[in-house]
Amino acid sequence: AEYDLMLATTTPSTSHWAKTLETFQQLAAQYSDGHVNINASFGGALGNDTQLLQKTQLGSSVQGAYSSGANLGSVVNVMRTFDIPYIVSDAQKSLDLFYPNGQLGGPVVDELQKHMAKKNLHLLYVVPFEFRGILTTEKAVHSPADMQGLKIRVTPSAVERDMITQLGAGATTLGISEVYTALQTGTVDGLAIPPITSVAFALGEVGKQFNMLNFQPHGSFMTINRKIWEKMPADLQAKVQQAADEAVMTTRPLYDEALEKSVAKLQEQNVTVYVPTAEEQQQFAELITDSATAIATQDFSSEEMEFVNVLKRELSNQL
Amino acid sequence: MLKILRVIEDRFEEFLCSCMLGYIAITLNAEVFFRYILNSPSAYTDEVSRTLMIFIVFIGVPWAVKSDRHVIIDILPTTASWAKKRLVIEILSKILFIGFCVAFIMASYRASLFHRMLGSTTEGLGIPYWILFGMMPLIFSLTIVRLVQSIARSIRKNRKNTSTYTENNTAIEKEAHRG
Amino acid sequence: MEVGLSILAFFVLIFLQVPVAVTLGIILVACFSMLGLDNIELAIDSYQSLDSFPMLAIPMFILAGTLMATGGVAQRILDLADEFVGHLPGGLAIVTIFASVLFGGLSGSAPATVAAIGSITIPEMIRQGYSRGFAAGLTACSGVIAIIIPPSNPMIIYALTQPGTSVSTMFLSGLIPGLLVAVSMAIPAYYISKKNNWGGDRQAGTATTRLKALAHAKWAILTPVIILGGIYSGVFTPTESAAVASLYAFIVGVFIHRELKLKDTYQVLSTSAIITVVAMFLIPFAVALGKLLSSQQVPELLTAMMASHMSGYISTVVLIVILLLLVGCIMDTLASIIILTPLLYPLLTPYGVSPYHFGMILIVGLGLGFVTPPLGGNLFIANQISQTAVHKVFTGALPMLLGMLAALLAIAFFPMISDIFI
Ligand code: NA
Ligand code: NA
Repeated sequence: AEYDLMLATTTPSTSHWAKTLETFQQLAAQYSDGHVNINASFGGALGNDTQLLQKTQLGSSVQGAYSSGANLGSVVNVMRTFDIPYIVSDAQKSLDLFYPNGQLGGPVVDELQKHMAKKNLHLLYVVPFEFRGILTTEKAVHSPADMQGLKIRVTPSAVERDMITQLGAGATTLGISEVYTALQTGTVDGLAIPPITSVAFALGEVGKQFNMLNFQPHGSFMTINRKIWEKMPADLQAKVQQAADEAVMTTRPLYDEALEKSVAKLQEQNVTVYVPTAEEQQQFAELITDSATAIATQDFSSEEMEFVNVLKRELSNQL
Repeated sequence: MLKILRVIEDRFEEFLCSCMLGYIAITLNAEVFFRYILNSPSAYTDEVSRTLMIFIVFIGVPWAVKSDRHVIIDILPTTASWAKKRLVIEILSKILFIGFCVAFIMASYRASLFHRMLGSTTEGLGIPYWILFGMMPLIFSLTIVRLVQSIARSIRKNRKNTSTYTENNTAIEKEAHRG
Repeated sequence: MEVGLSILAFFVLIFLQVPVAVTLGIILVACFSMLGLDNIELAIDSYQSLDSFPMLAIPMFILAGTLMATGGVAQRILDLADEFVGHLPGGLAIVTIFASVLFGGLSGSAPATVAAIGSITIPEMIRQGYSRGFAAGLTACSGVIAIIIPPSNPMIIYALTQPGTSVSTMFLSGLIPGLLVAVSMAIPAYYISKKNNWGGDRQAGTATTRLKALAHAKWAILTPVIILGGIYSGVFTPTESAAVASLYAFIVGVFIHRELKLKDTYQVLSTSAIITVVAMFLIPFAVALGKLLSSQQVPELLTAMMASHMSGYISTVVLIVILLLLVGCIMDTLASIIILTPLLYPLLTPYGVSPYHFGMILIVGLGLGFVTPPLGGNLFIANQISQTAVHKVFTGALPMLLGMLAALLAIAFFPMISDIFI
């Protein structure tokens, strides 16, 4: 094909995330009459999230990476906005934000592409957000007071560390590959994680309490190398984008299914899945939101603050 | 003054690597203490120790050249008649090593520029990647210096030894007899 | 064509005594330029491949080993072992294998196990007259047990790659195969030691001498207790345990045995650092090569080539084992698991092979790759600790490798071995 693109992800080839990518592969070949060929590499065979993103920026052997918002946030600052607790709290609304008319676009996307372009990236598609709850080994966490004194695993994100310490817990940085054993032996008592991911990493075998707090959004974004994207003629770009949009829309139901299945799986593994009341969620929000917002946006330039404003405006329009 | 310079010349990489290794051991233990006893672990231990480990390995490269420790697979005969050939091969191998250093210097220099242009930083501490990658050309230039010194040493030694060449030339075997 | 050329270049450079890591580096540079890839990626891959927290266990266990050797901890443990098995031929070799089983119960990393056990037993085996190659080769093989006995980093990766498998069941599946692999190495180790008269040149210890050795070693034998206890009570992670072991060996060596002088600390650090450097310098290029091979879909091509010759259960299993050995020679274990699981498991499902059984074949098969050149992580650590040429470590390891291969075939053809607890 004229345009051969390698899109890489750390997600496994059997997941619903992979289904979206595979659907995109087929549609892209079909709509472009074979001018665009999408290759996919799953399971992190070409590198971890950081490496894949750097390789995408370079665009040599990898032209696209599927990354979490948290991971993108260390490259594209404005993405850190999505780390703010409860800023988005519904999967459908997260999708509406990026696909106002069923197509990738609208004020948030336009603003975001500007910031992505500075890092040689281009946003190709977004899937429905997931939301993190709190998985703990023994102690059920229903209110912030229950977090007091727990040892909680965090990623290197400053926002996440701050949220956990604001709640009175100790924050320990661990790689995801160490979490299983750490929960099993009690090195840590829990972590903030979406239900689907906790099932994917078999953490329901070792953590026994899950609070579906849905407090922090966890988005996944397919980005591609901007230079390579811009080299493509506009009509081809439109066809590829159409393929990406349709791939997200047609696989949309898989995301709700995956969430339902993961909750069922957790229960099957004897995990007590707790759905908090609005009041309880409010207690968490009050403690963490302001401080997390301050940290997420602390070194934002005026242009980056503009993104935050656009995002907030669009979110309030949704209501 | 000259003596200090000589010690630095002799021990520079060794000193850096040893200190970094000791530092990692101390901070990891401190981390266990802070987490288990005080439940307030540091945000940076993980990233600092990973980064130091990376630099121990790379700064160790010129050190290992200097102390003849790089892993080679030596299947050449060690008889007296091979002494000259072994020297030629040794020099050739070091020239190839220098060639690799040059390639790696260019690659990491370009990687440094690339990261500088994009302003990438590490996740936790926010260290600019261009600085981290920018260390590589320095380290591999030092490696070239060490390789040149080592070639000169081998030639000198060979001149001295040509008449009575019996010594086993493999660095690893030499070490083995010593230890 | 390019592959053939690269393999030829590899052997020429190795013959010319270019260091192994640099040989890989040169081949990578050449491949990047032939394939028109940007060499910035080579720099990124080499740097990032070392950026891993669990990998810190390697330098920390090397340091712990050196501290134990200098501070008299290792000597006391070995004297104690000597009292019990020193009168048997190959006693220390067997101790090395079963120490790795025990250590494998807390570490999930093969190279870290070689660093931890080997720093103590290799020098002692050499002192007792075992050949250097055998001592190092045996220990390099023993390290593989750590990824078969739970916990195991590769098994976690496998369970995450293979849908419907749980980490804890996968761990359980590893118990019997781990012991089987240990026994399969102990048998050749025993016969070789017996033939060469290694070990067994002393009287069996009496109850009195044994108790005395036990008392003498009381602080030393607390080391495994502290490491095991600390990990299983969750005080520290397996990776951190390596650093804790260093601190403990330091305290015992300086303040209790008083054999380690404070001024020797620098020397200990420097010795450990150079071993770390040389053993780990291979990792950046080995990983970068693995990434390059997977981006060029080499594992997929190899599998497709072999799949066309597969007919029936036995030939399929044998070809898969051969493929695993080949891939284990050239690629990093974790990356191989991710790539090969979805490719190979479907070939075995028609024969009713359970995902756990397949997982064991995969883990043990790729585990052998830790000891096969050119990219054998264990080989290089053993080579550094023993100060023996890599090819001698490998020839020393061969009999135990064959033992492991026999165990692998047994695991492959008898599902019971892996599936007994499911
Ligand atoms: Na293990
Ligand atoms: Na290998």
